[in-house]
Amino acid sequence: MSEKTKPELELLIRSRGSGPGSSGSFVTKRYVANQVALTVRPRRIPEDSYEVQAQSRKDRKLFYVIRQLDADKYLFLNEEEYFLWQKMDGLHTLRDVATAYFIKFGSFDFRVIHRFLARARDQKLIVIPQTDLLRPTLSDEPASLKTRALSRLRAIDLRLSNVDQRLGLLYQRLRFLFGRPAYVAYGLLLALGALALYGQSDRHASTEVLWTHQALLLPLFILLHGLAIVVHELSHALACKHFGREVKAFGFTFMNRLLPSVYADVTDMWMSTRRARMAVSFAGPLSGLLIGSASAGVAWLLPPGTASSFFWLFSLSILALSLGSLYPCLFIESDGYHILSDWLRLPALREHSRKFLQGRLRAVVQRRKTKPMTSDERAFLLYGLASIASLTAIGASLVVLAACPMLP
Amino acid sequence: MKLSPRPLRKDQTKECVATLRRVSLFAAWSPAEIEEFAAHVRLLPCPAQEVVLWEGDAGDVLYIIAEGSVVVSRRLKGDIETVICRLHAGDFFGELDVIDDQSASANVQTETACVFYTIDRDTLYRELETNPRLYSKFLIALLKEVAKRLRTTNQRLIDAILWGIDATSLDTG
Repeated sequence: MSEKTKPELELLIRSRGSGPGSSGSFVTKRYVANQVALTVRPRRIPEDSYEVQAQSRKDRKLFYVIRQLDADKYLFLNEEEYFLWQKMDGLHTLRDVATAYFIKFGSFDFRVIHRFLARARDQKLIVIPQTDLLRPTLSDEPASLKTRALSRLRAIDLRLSNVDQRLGLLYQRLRFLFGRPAYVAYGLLLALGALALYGQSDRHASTEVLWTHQALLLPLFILLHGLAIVVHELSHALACKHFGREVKAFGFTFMNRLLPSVYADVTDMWMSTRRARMAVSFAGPLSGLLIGSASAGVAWLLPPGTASSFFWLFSLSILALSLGSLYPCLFIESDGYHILSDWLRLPALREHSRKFLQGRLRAVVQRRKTKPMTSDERAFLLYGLASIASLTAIGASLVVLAACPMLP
Repeated sequence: MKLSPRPLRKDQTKECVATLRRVSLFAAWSPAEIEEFAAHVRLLPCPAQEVVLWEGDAGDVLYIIAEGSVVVSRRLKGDIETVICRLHAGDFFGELDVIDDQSASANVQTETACVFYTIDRDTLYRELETNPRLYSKFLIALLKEVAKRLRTTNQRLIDAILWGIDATSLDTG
């Protein structure tokens, strides 16, 4: 079929801001299908624009983390996908890549390439010049007023400038916090805290203390929690500097459906070792445990009264939050989840677990036979069931607590 | 910009009649019938790159293109639309909306500066109902036009599928 007789797709692209109720300019463009799938030559971004780190999984298979330096985006690839990545040098067509894949791995499904390309292009790690004319014109749905307002709120991101440099300097000053003597001191403080908790185990924790002194203690309570959160994130950041990686951001934003949060972006730890990542994940909750232990100790040492009660309440609160952040099985990416995921060498444990549980449930409903589980799948199952059980327990507790005043 | 049709001046009626005689909807009408009908038609000039109809607008006006050309499109995603067809002088649009009392099914925008003759649904039906013979001639012409557009749509469907086959290289021919 000649170019002239090939079917064309004609699109009308309206200028931004023109929609129902307003007029605006537009252009029309024609596109001839040009055997996009097989004759294009996808191209990796230049080598100085990314870095690669190999990581090992529990089953000794490798996976690769590719970091796009400009946009700070990451791509996790298995061995097959990494092979595709290496072949996409802008010189070989997709047909060539598919042939090479078949020779290397002995089987092939073209959807593998499509899925990989979609992910890689999304993370701006691969470009396909021939088709990228069309792609930028396909924009997102115009958002509603509510969605736009929420997006603007979520986009609030108050970051420190030159954060990595500043944290580097801070780390140099606080380097002693990462030495053996410091670790011994942490152990002692935690032991003291445990002792203080045991010593006051018959003590009630009441929030009434916050309402004394014209309720001035309440804002102080909240402020101390805020400071504890900053220390938590700072601990992650300093630990990241301790292992020689970059802290990409530190600031305040609205994350996870409007929750105000302080955050430290330590995703660069993906370029480091598993143990280092686990240590960085643990650093945050550890700071909370230490603060809680110190507070429990102070409450124990002070004579009975408002101050002692205040520190006792604060210590219980901080310890509960820190232990909560270490708990891994709630289907959220807490510090504990990251530690578990790294310990098991199962990245994206949460997503895999969800997909696995959905698949199994479907199989049960449809009464299909399933293959015996692999060790990874057992981990997915256990994690998923533990998360479901935990969330159910939390939900039930909240219901009971809410119903308490109504009970006789 | 809100567009407002206006009544024809006396000197514009002759030109309107000449245009309507070229339109397939009125091909079977006599000159006198067209002249009588033209008395109820209104004139609507429109600059280029102007949206005449938005998809979803209340559709109760028949537009006849006297001059210029328009692009008819349907929204795909965001600001991107697929072009359904182009219409030129002597063509018309809005006939489906006039028939079935539904909202406009596509966007229509002027590609060049245009002049339209318009008639609203109520006026159209009032004139046609007074003359059943004229009514049947109008409906037959409308039916032929709808059949023609359906054939065009079928061909476009085939073209779209061929485009997809070509783009994904499923075609080994």
